[in-house]
Amino acid sequence: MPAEQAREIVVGTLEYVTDLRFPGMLHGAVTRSAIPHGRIVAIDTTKAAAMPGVRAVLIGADVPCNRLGPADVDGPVLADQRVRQVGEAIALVAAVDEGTARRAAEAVVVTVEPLPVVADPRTALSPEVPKLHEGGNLAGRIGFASGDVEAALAAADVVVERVVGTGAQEHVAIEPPGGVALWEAGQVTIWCGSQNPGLHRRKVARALNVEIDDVRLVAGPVGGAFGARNDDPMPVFLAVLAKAAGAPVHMRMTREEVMAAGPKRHPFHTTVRVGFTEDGDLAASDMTALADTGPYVTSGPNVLKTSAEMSVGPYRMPVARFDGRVVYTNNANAGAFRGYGVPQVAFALETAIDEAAARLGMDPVELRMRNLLRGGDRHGLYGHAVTPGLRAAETLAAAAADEWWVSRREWQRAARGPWRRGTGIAMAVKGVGLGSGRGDAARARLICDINGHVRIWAGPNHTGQAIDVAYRQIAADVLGMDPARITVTVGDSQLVPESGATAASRSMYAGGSAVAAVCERYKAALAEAGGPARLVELGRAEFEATFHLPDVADPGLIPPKRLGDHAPHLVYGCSAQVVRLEVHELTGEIRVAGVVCAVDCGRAINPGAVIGQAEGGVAQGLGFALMEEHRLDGGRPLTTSLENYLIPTARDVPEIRTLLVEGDEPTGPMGAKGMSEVVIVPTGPAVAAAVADAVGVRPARLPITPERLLEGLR
Amino acid sequence: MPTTGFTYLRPLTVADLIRDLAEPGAFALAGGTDLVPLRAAGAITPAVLVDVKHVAELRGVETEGDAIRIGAATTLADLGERDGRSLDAILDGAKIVGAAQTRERATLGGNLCRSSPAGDTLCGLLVLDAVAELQSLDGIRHVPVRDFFTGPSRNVKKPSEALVSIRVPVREGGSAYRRFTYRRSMDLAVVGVAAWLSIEDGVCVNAAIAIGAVAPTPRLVPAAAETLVGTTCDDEAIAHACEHVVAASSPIDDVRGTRDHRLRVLRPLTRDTLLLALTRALGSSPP
Ligand SMILES: Cc1cc2nc3c(=O)[nH]c(=O)nc-3n(C[C@H](O)[C@H](O)[C@H](O)COP(=O)(O)OP(=O)(O)OC[C@H]3O[C@@H](n4cnc5c(N)ncnc54)[C@H](O)[C@@H]3O)c2cc1C
Repeated sequence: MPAEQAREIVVGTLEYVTDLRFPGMLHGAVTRSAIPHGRIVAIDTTKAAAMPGVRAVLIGADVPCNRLGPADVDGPVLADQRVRQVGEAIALVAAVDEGTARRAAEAVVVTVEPLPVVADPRTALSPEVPKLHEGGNLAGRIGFASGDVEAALAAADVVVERVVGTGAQEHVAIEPPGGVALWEAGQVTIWCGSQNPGLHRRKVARALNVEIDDVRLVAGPVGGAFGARNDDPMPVFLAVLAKAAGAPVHMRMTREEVMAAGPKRHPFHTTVRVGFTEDGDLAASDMTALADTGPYVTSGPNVLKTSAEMSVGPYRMPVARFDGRVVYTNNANAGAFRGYGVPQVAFALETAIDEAAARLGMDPVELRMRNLLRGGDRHGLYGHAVTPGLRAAETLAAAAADEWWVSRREWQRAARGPWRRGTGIAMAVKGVGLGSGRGDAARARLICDINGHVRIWAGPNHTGQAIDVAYRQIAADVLGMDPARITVTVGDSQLVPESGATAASRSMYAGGSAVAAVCERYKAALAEAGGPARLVELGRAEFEATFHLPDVADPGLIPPKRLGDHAPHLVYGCSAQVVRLEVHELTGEIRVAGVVCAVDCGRAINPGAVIGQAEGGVAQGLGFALMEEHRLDGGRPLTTSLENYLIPTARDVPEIRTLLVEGDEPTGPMGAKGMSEVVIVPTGPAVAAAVADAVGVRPARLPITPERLLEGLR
Repeated sequence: MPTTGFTYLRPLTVADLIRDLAEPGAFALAGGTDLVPLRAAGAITPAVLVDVKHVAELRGVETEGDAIRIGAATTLADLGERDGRSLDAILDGAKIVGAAQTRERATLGGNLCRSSPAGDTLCGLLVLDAVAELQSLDGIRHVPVRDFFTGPSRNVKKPSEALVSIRVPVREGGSAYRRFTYRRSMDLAVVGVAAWLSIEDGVCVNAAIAIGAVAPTPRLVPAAAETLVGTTCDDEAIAHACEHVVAASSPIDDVRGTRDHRLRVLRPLTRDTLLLALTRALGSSPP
């Protein structure tokens, strides 16, 4: 079923929140830090405030509770003591038009005394480096071992060690954050894209010291998110400014502001050691990871949780250890991003396995196949039992059966001139939902009218993936109704019961389950009452249901009290990908010729949407693998716009063959589970494996730029 | 964010065009694909925008005696559809600028006047010995493109001068332009090379090579061309030419690419470009 707004999106007529206009509306702009680290000595707003057309100029002291989260490390709404990143917000301006607002924002005079910059996460924890927060530069740490890893590695026949790195990726959602806020009778309505309307309501209520019920977020339509609209401060800026100005305020970020101040994927330095027996059985893995979260905590420690859990991949690992740290620096703030800490560690693990296959003289598919987790097996690090719905072996088999993998030697032999050819394969696994011990839940509300027309309010929100259409399909199926007679609304915090984030591959699984549950309730009541008109008459036409994501039944090695600290998953999805490409051995250019993406998605409720997610994931994965990297020099961004931060164009993305490996996830709605994140994960290591196949050198850093590739070849 | 207004003028004749351009703060506006982003970034603040696209003399491609005359406001999309063998190196560049939408608006004159070291038609204009026709209230002057550039984004054209046409002599031989980029479209040249070769009885009798994005301006490398004259453009001769090209370049490190990488790419790119020009000169269809 196509997305409801598909046509409007494609022809460009859809009204996004930044297209909204209100009578008497003002325009907002942000004064941002020009330097990566410094002590704020003074902020002088007199000149800006005196400019004709300026209606409000706010600094940190004007925000009732100047914090974006419960702790200091969540960062201020507006920096007032210290700036810790280029682009950090210092003042907000509202004026009669956008040009005036921006000029006034520039006219705010900020006197800053520069402080030494913490630019290298590898030295961020040394005592001589300045502390970015009172508690030091360690934002989070996870250390866990399921046994004596050193002994297991010592006993292994082959041990592969890899030291790798991955870059800071930018989300590049088409729509930069923006929207409108309006105060009426002590209550604020904010039209602003969000992946987590509930969280944003709490942020606004905290900052303005108002009741949560006085904050309404209408979070869409959203022009893409990919994680960037989770920690985004824009709804808070809008609300604060509209209150101070006493008028509706409109604001939008430019692409340049997004590049400097928006979140990025956490860059990682990762070391892995993987041991095998000579027969190719996995013996142990030991991974050390260092993540750079930038100046504030945002999603750092949570990202590290999924890194830890997925550090053993979809494999039966007899013993494993993970030692991860996430540190503060003056680099770009990193936040949630599709894959959430998994692409970084999967790159380390999968390229190590690929190298092990070469060292053992084994086929990389065969080597993986003999070590794969089967549904019901225990997790290598935490020892909990995984869902029987996992179809890792079928997924790998599907990818490996594709002609692009089967004919890889013919492809290689047909290489001409300086263009070398190679093919690579890689796998990945990713948990669905926030994980055990986190109280993860989604809710849905349903109302019927006398004619049997059904309205459903459900979350998580639609941020581009047409999740609302899937909710409608599920409802139609459960109720045996024509989908045309069902209306689904998402994203409005006043109407949709709290359902958590559009994140963690949970929307279909959690939101879909809540929709199915509320429909079941309605169906039962309908049968009992004898028709919708009767339900309306009885005043029983409204229903609500909550779906609690199941925790692991047996937490394995995790102390039950610490379940939420590790948040292991019961349900996982996986993906296996094949990449075939050409490498120019003199210029280092890489041309990807094709990608096979097999994805274990449970039941594909809307196959068109699943394929869309798979293709988008691969395209974004190719960007991460080959060209996308937000670069800084001493905390100052070098990649400042889409002219110098490159993402793949339609020409760079080859044919993608998506293979849906359908199955039945027993805990999911109609057997479905989440799949939109895992599809970005294998692309990087599969590209690296293909490059190694083509030129014999295994890349150690993503993105594999032509420069890095040629340096490796020399 | 532009904060000042401007006057928009749309002359229909060259006489009006040069009168309008004589106004203080006047800028010619062709496709606007450079001018609009530059203005948005605050790099220029035009007081008057003089739209050049509606002056008939500035549009179209015609043969005039022993030269081809290209109106300065001819779009790259229009050029790209033409099949003028003697313009190959220019057309190769015109066809890869930006994306289809960019090329519908972008003009050849705009590319020349912008004078970016990475401009994709500029190396082709150099090797094909193009001549720019500039007009102002002071009169007409004809400036060979090889004397046009004075530095990055700088040239000899005065603000009051309109670029009216670009003349390319019709000559024997084959030409080509190739660039290296990090992605396959919508990217600016990290290195660009154009070549023109005239071959008689299998021997090179005349040649030109130009390089882009590796020096402050696009520039000819006469020493490289000379090594080819009198040879059959065999591997050895081409290797020699490549050495001269590398010697003549002075690339920098910037966010778009490192000096080292530009130097590494220059050699194979020069070679590929020469081979394509040679194939074209020999009259066979390109590979
Ligand atoms: C998305 C995008 C991608 C791009 N990709 C490329 C690329 O791959 N390669 C590349 O080389 N360039 C690229 N460019 C730059 C640009 O498109 C070209 O330089 C183009 O040829 C400029 O032509 P224009 O007609 O748009 O010039 P305009 O923007 O109209 O003008 C450019 C400058 O030339 C002056 N000018 C123009 N015409 C005249 C005239 N007749 N007389 C006097 N002065 C004149 C203007 O005053 C201005 O200063 C890209 C631009 C964009 C926006």
